[in-house]
Amino acid sequence: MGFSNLIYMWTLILPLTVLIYYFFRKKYKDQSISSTLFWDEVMQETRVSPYLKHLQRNALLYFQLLALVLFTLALMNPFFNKSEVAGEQVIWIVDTSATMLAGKDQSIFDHHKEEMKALVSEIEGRPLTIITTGEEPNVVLRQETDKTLIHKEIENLKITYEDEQLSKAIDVAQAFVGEASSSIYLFTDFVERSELPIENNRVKWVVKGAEKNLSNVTITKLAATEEGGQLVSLVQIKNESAIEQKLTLSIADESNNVIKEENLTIDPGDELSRMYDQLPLSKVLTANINTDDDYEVDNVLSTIIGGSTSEIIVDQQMHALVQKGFQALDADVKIVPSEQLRSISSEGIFVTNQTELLNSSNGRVILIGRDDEIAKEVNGMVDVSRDALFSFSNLEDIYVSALYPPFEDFETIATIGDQPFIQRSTRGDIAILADIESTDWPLHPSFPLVLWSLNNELSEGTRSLGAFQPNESRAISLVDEEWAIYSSDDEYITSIESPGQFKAPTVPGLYTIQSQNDEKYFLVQLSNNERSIQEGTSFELGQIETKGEDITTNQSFSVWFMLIVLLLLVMEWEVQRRRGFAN
Amino acid sequence: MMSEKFLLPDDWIAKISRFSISTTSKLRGQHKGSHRSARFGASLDFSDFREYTLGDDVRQVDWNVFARTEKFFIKRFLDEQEMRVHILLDSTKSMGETNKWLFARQIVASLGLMVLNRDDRLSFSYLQEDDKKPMFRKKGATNRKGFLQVVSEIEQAIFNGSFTSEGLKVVPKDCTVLFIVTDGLEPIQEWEQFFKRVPRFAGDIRCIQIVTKEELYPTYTGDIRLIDAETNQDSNVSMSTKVIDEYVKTREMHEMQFEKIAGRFGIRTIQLVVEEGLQNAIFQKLLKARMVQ
Repeated sequence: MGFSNLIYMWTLILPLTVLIYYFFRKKYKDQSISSTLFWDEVMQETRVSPYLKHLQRNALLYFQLLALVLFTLALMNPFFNKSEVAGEQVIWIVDTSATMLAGKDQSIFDHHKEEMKALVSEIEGRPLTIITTGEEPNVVLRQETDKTLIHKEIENLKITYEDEQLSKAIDVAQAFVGEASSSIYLFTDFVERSELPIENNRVKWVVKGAEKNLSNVTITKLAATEEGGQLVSLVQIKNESAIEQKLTLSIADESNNVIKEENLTIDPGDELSRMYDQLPLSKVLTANINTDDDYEVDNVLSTIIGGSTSEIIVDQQMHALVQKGFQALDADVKIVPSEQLRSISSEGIFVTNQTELLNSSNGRVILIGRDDEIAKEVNGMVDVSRDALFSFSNLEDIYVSALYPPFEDFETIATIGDQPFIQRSTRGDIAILADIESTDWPLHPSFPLVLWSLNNELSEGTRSLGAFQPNESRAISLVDEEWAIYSSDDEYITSIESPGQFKAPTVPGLYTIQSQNDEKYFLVQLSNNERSIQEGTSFELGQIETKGEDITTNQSFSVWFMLIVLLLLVMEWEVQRRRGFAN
Repeated sequence: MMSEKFLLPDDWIAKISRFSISTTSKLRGQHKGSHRSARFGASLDFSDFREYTLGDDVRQVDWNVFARTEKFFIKRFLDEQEMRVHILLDSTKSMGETNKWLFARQIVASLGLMVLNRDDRLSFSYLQEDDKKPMFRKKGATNRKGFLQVVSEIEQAIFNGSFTSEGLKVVPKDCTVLFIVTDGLEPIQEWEQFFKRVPRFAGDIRCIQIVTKEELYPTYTGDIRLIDAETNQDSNVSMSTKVIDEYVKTREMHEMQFEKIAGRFGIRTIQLVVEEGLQNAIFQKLLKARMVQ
């Protein structure tokens, strides 16, 4: 509640004047009479209560005072600061990112849910659209007016742990605005005013932010690498709160055994790096901080050892389409002259035709063609085995004119006729026994798909699928058709019908994906954006141009005051009339 | 000092000379007066004849009748006796309002003059504080001036006590007619006690109630602190038509009970309104009520 015309405060003089007038008013005129005999009798009836009598006697004063005070209040134009929903339609953008889990007693998200439920009653039949944020903004409700349904959907809203990507959700919301004047509510933790498109005068933005003074300690980085049969790891912890935080940092291996533990104190706003070496080997390393902060999800960070995506080094001699193909994978591609390849000690992927690199390089090798042999003409159809490499691509249509001799001890995964076409070494290197020039492969859509699969397999290794963001959909090369996902606690999560539609689970953590023949593991991790929380702000932006059906935000109730004043005036008049007008 | 000239209009004595006080009360004084009494007496007025019975005064036998009828008849004459009239004036402070007090004294003076004119015995008393003057008790027209003097000299009603309890102390026991001039502004219970005792003092009691128009129909407005003239008690009243209506009703109730109680003890009452004037009071009201003739 507030007053919009505080300047009219000066009118308080009016009731004060009346009061002062009554103070100096001669209270009773003395009148000597023969006898008060009868008067006493008359007045005995009214002498029931001294208060009542007082009231009765001063009724006029009180009425006048009340009327004038109310008049003054009415002039000051009081209003309920009720955030009434404006516009013809209402759109709620609900941030479901992980940071919404922050909060002192109640998470921001739960708090917002309650706020939403309260808001539903104010919508008053206008269509409501609810959009949740994420990689793919989801329209939960589309211009819905059924309140029970709205309540149900609000109840069903869940955190998706995805990056909020507000701008995407805002774009979706904008699409709903169309020609109708709308209020768009943004239930998020933090948003810059500049992020909101305010050029549209039919839209009013209401941002409901997070509460202030949330404390958070987060693990910003966990890196681990294998070195001489032992693990070396680096942990970075940041204190985002304004007070010093005490915490216990523990590092656990894949089976959740704590292999390192340390008590740390971290100053406000400070970042702390810890290096640990001589850790036992493990596929997965999980850092965990045990501290008392308001945001818990970011207190855990895992990493897959050796799963680091590395650069791709392409031999300059390779066909331009191979270079382009790898560049199109959006990976870190380096084109290096052939003679320099041997001197590079990188652990990346080498794409070359130099056979000797199979033995000499530190990284993985994709051999396309051989420089130590001569290709022989070949005729026949390509036949592929069941291998993850070919889960997205069928090489049957490819024409290959000449093949190099195969390696003896390599596993053949594709053949032409009886001769091996693609082989995999025991180390995992891939050998394609043909020059690209002698095939029409680049003309086929399977070419980039195989390149992608190659990159995928060689960079991640065959045991791990790598790290995903929550709910991330990504094609992964899985051979078997049916896979089931289990959490690190061996809890069944979901199953996948076709590997092409792999979608990571929602909750961060370590997962295993199993088929009848195979078992791989992968990580679901919060994006870096979601690992830090920012102080929220709530504000409103924009104003809908006045239209017939708009409702003003400040509902003034001056009118009610005026009605009461009118009533009081009538009462005063009646009191005066009964007393006689001479007074 | 206010003279009798101010108390009564100049020609007033002449005007009221034709009025007299009449009563059927048998209680008379011993002295000869100008009023015929029901008794037979020694006046010159012939009443009737009666046959002589043993024990009658022989001197009263009408011998002329005996000569004609040879029977003894006694000739009887009407008796003429004086009438004792007492006027009791309420001089409590409630009577003190200027016009009311003047009017009350005018009534008293008029009544007194009527009595004195008729050669009857007039006594007059009022309630006095400590230095008491002797009660006026005179007979005959010669005392008219003296009476007026006495009435005029009571300039103010300043008695502090209650009329109903103190009033009878100053009334002589042997009155034929007792005029009580008061405003009746005392609780009805006290009046009841008063009226119960007053018949012992006189045979014919007439209560003249003096009221002002203001008392009957108050015209006050606003918030007023009413102060009782007698007790000095105050009463805060916010005037409104409703309150005044209530007052009038209460007052009428009081009058009704007052008359009723008076009637129970054979006391005649009459209400004279100050504002209606002396003329109206005497010539209309009192005459009509047969308090004067």
